[in-house]
Amino acid sequence: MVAILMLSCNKNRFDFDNLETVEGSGQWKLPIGNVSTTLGDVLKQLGENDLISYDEDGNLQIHYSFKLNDILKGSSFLSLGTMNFSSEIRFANPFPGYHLPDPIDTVYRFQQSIELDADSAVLETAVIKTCTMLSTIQGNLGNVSRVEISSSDITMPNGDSLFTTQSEVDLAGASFHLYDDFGNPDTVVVFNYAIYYQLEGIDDEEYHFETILGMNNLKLQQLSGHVNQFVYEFDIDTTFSLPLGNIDGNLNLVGAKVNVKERNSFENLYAQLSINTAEFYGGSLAPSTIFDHYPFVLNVVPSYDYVSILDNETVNLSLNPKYDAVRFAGLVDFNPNAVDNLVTIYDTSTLSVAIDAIIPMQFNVPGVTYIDTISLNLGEISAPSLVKEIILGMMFESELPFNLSVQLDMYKSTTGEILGGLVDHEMLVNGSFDGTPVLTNESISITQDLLKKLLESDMLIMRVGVNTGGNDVLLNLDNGLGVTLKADVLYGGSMDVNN
Amino acid sequence: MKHIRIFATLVFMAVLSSASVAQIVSPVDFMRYNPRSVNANPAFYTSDFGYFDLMLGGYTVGVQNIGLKYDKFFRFNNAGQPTVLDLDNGVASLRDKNYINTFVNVDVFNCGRRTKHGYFSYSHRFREVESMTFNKDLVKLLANGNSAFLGEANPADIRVNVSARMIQEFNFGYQMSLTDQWNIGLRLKFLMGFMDVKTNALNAQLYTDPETYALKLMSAADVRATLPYEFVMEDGKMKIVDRRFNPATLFKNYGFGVDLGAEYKINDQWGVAAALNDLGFIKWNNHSVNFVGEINDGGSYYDNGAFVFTGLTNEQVHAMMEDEHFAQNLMDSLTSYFSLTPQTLAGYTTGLYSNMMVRGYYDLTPEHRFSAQFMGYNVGMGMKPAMTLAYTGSFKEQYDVVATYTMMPGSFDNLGIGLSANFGGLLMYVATNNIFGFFNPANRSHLHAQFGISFTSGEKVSRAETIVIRDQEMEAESED
Repeated sequence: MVAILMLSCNKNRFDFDNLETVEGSGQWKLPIGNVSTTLGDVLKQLGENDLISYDEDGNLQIHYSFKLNDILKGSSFLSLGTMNFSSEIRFANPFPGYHLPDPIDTVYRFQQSIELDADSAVLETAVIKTCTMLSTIQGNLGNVSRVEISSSDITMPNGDSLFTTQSEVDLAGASFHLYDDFGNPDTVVVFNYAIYYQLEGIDDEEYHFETILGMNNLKLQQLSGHVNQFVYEFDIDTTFSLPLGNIDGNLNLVGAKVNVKERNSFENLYAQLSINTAEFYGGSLAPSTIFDHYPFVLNVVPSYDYVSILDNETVNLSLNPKYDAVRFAGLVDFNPNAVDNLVTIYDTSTLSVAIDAIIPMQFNVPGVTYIDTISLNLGEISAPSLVKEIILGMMFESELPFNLSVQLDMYKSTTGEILGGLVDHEMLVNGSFDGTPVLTNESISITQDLLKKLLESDMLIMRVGVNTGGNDVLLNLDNGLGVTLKADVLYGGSMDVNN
Repeated sequence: MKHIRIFATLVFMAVLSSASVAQIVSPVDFMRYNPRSVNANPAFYTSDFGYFDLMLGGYTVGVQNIGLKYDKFFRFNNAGQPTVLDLDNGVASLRDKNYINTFVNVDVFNCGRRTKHGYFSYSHRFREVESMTFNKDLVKLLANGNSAFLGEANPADIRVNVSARMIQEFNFGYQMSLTDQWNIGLRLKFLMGFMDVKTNALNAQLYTDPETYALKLMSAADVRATLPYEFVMEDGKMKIVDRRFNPATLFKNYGFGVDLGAEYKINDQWGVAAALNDLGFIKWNNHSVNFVGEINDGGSYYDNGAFVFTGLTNEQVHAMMEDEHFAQNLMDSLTSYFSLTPQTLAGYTTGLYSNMMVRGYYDLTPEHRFSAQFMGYNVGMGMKPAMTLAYTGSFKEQYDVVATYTMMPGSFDNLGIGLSANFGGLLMYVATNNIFGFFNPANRSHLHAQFGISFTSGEKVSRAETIVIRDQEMEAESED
């Protein structure tokens, strides 16, 4: 009983209703992570990308290919459209006002020539793809019973020369053979007209009539002849995007190579491709020209397949990630030497150019800055009062051939206020310029005040600076960056157990 | 998880349960007119002709707490209520090795009677003993972090031992005075174990690399237990069939033990005594199980038997950013490194928690005795020493007044007191080995109480008178 009585005196010492705070101090040393990545990993994460590739040694390169298809089409040569040729014929009436008691059947024959005009070519033969020939006669000849039109310059699909009494003739499949009487090529098509009519006599002083010969929707399927020099201009813009985000600065790319191929299916038609403008551009930045001189002239030879006309031409580029378009402008000079060759042009003939630019990621960067934001969703988290400081220790192991500098600022978007730097200095990650991994140690001290600001902010502004330290560097898939992150968590003081 | 719950339950039971004949020092051990003194040494002389008791004969409860000082962990208001948990102060107050023992002893039935040549006694009692030891690293790591444990040679070395046992004891004792100088005693014990939990290994070592902070955890768990419940193994999992108490389980797991004692009276003032108690064993073979915990090869964090955490990997960092179930998945993967597997045991044998004592005494007068005693006692965690100085005042063949002072490692404030009185055959006694324990129990190394009521019969006979009577009887027999 005495013991129980004495023990009961101590019961308050085990009454925890008034326990208010926990006091303590200590330090945990914790490994947080050991993360590494290579440029190859980054490329994988970016997904399918036609722009960036790598060679057999794993060296990264920008591989930019595009085609300038059908700079010139044969069909555009051979579509002559609708042409109308009119001819007015007059001859004297020897007996004005005399009318024959019985009309006399008679025929009037004449020739009408039309010239298939071509500034740049002298045609010899041509196969008509589409054409409707229409003929009309108006005049005072009286009762016209029949009109015969024939031409030895036009061979119908059945092999006969043109002969028709119809006012409308489908010439599809027919062909022109344009030679003069001496067998020399000319551009004239001669039509022979025979007009059968009944002569009755008229009051007029002369007989007159007008023939209109229309060649509607004349398209040639094939044309042979002699082509003179002519010039075709082109100006092509192609947009693209570089998957490098918000980077500010120029990459001076070294050792870029350009290959150009062409396909010219104009038989025997040689050309020169003169590039007057080839440049990257975008935004308000000054364009970056691709070739070091203009015009950049390439000879285009006839070929049904693509053939190389420029092989690994070295160009120097200063590429800014803000560039989002490339422009090529110039002209194609056909038969630049005005050679008098017999040329056959089909409506399927085209001239196309394929440009293949391989730009090794070999560059020097005097200073490029990548700026991005990182959203934070820490609103539900409160700063534990016992945690006094968290020191994050980072050991970077870099094989990247450039130096990095990192700044992190805490940003409160609701007020637009920058609450300060998460790191009180610019963190540096030294690059490797000789292939040997370089270690850099850095640390971030997050005090309780800083932690409160971090929780108050909702965004981190990250500025990553890149420079190659004056070196020309070449990026490789295997270039990696590893970071070992550890933390010293220092805690101490009082923590209210009721909150 | 189920195994871990069962395992934790066993440990919890062990911590809460208490055990056995408190083989730590009690003032009762020094009483001269209380037959309970023979618990310390079966050779001690009992002056009563006979005694018996039923259910009230002896109750002993005790807590031995070496290292954990409650008041060091808390600060209190004027009303004495804790208001601040002071982890730094508490951790600083811990010893490198701390232990908490609890024990309970309940005598069901005791009796004894003088015979022609000695003294026969019989007891039936329940005994529980529990002991838990833990080193300072466990609490220091949790409270202060791992910064104090850096390097391969300086791990946080966490070692926990838990032992708990509940048994019944039926003992038969016989004490005999060989001469007027020599007493010897023997007590045979038949034991029945009810429950047993014993950690063969429960430890972990956490290494922290001072440069990378990589954490390497090595651990081992090997716990044997005998449960009062029937269980079955299904697909490697342990399932308890029936949690209801079955009285039949009180009569399983047999064991035997013996206490040996001797006393030598050098002269009228000086004497010495020695005893070896609880030499024996128990065979645990009813519902026995062995929990084995180990670190498995669960993946990249496994290294030669250890769990090595060097930080999140690339894949985990990506998963953390992309997988909303990352935390749960990570926990699931981490748990695969650790297993706690129950294995049915056909049986195992444990030794009793033995103790030994050596005592010397000096009788200033027949009423006043001064003793010095060395005791080595074991509550499951190895032999621990206890040095006791005692005064026993014995008056009118009725009263014992005992004062003790006991020193043990880490415990030097044990001032005990015991009173025993016999009123016409009604013997009542009460004792504690640390009177201060009742005033501030949470901060004392001992809290102990022992009390009981017995009935004695016959006149008191001193040892010298016993020898004379016996000699006379033997002489008469020879004449016949």
